[in-house]
Amino acid sequence: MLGPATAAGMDRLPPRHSYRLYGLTLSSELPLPLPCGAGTPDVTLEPGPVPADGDLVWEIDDPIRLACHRSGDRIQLISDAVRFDVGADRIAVETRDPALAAHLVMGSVWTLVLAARGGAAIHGTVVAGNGRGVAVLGASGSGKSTAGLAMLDRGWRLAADDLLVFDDQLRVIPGPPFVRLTADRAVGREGDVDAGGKVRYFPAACSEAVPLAAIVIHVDGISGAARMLPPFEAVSILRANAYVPLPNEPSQAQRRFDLILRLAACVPIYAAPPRSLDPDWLSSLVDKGIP
Amino acid sequence: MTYRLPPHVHHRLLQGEAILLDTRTDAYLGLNRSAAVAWEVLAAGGSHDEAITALIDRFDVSTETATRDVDRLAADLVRRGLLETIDA
Repeated sequence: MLGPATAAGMDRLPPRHSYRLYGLTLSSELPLPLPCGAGTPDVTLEPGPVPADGDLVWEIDDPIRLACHRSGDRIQLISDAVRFDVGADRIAVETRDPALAAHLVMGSVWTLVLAARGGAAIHGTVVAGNGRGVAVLGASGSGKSTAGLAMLDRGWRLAADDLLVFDDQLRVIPGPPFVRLTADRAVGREGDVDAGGKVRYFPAACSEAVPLAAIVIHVDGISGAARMLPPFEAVSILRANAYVPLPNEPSQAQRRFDLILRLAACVPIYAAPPRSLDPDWLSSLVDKGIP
Repeated sequence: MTYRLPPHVHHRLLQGEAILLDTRTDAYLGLNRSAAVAWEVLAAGGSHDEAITALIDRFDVSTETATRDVDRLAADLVRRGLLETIDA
């Protein structure tokens, strides 16, 4: 059990690990299924007291019960078994469920770290072939994982799944090197079950940031072939796929706007019906640039 | 009449269209190519008449149509809090 460090208990703390997560070095006492990092940590995760004394910002019940509180610059993420206090360079955690804590660190907690560091992110999957990536976006169940797995089975590499983070050149920074699959989709693929109840499947993964050849968004209510979106429609649909970890935060809104507008200006964006993507067409986006 | 851009509004041109963000509400607004031409003038502190002239110069529209369109656009943007009047 990780808990607040005390002078008497310091010598019993587990060893620290250094990981790479979305381009940052994370020093953590929680073991995480991430590539090793090196050098001075950008973010430190350590045991510490986490009071839930802030104002409620948001809460969800699915897939696990989770609430976000805020008190000044401090952001707390609270579940029944885990409490985090999140800042730009330090995460304090109190937990009696290290597996759940690890699961949250790589997802919800990291979106708050990125927000605190002035970043923005969108939701989707990026797979890469021939050194270029294709992002597949859309609602849960729209076919992102299916499309991504089809390309991984063709020898493409995973750049990031779920949380997409970009560098200054709009390249996708590699995320955790696994895809989270429901049990039915994981049949025939090895992996461990995480605290969220999904199977972590570890395909070949990118180790460097990847430029995007295209963004394909599954959109409900359309039919036929994928079509390139005009500017405002592309922006509107991209926006619906952006993470909003801290609502009502003007600086966050501006950073999200800047990211979305840069993506819409620099990367071709297509709309496609859910569960419609053909692997050959996705390959053509990378091979030919413009299909 | 001239206008100014409130500090809570950010905007970008994208393929000729203008996209506006109101950071107070996180609301986005898209303006088509002709509205974007007028927006660029108004947001830069240009006058109502300069926006009308820009529309006539760039598009095949009459003075009456351009005047009506700029009137409507400016009124709508002011009503939404995306533009502020600085004199009359």
